Amino acid sequence: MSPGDPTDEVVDALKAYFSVPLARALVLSTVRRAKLDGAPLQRHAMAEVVTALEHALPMYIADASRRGECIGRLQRLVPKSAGDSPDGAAVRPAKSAAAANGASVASTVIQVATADDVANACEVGRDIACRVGFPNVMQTKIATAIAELARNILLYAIAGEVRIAAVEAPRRGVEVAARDEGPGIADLDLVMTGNYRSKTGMGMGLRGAKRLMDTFEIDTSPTGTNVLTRKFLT
Amino acid sequence: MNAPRIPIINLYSNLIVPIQGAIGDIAMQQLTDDVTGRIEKEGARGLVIDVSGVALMDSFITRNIRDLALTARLMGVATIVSGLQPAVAITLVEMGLEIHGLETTLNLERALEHLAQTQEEEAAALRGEIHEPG
Repeated sequence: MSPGDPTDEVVDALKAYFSVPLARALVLSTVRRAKLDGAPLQRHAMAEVVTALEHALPMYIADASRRGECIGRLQRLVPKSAGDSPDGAAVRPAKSAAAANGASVASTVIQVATADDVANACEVGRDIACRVGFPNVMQTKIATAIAELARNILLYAIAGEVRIAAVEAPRRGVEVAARDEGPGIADLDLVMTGNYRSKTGMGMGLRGAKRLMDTFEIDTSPTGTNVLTRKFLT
Repeated sequence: MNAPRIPIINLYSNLIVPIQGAIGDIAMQQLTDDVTGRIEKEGARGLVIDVSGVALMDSFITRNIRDLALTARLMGVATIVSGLQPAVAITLVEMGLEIHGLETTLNLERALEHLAQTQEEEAAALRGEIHEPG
């Protein structure tokens, strides 16, 4: 490979496991989240980004050996320093990082700007719900509620973010927060009664999400909308 | 161009559309164009949209699948949605998303049986009409 754009190199390493747009979005959001300034990824920041990606990977690749393989590919991109380790050794720290990540309470922020991001948010939500201990049907409900909230951001606010976290208090469960700086919802009451028909969906996105979750709070103004919703295990 | 095309299979004049995984906006628009185009070109008699590979249906995807089914029906093609996963069906009911006026079956096999039966009945009715006056 010719020494090209570092972002392309990372996307290249990921594309066996993700679609190219999803890989690109993942790299961009990782760079953004790691607060590495300068939108294009710089080569000196490669190590940091690869580490951040390693932490994120358990969300996307469930299979441990496939994940190890992917991490191996990523680590080969990090500029060689003293004591360059062979593949076997390179995988080991990543595994312990993944284990530590699984033990702690997962919380993930997903920037929503494309349809792929919506699908991505659903996957992350399902994964977190699974780890919290929700059975399959409940995982589907939570992931669907996330889809509704993320889709709303995409349709009406252009961009925003969804934060998904496991919570312990007041009860064990999953918390989903959606935030955007869109134009807000003009007639919230109408939307929530279900008598509203939108052109794009069934006019049921927010109401559907509310019915799927246990708690639902919404705060909307002309400068943006915040939704906070939770689903409890018991 | 990123989203892979969803395959459309022609089987005994019925079009079968197996939808898999999460479908983005582009894929859905493309699918509607492809399916309606194939219906016209191949003179399809039936359409089965199989969603057994879809683990999650939000209101947007549901709306799109319903619209595709209604569009095909308007073109005169008997249309069935098959294979809704249990968790998906439970979620749709809980959300209050009912798919009115849409025929559904447990799986693809039942959908094809149903289409064959309907087509047989239609053919029989047609034969009856031809023979009766004579």
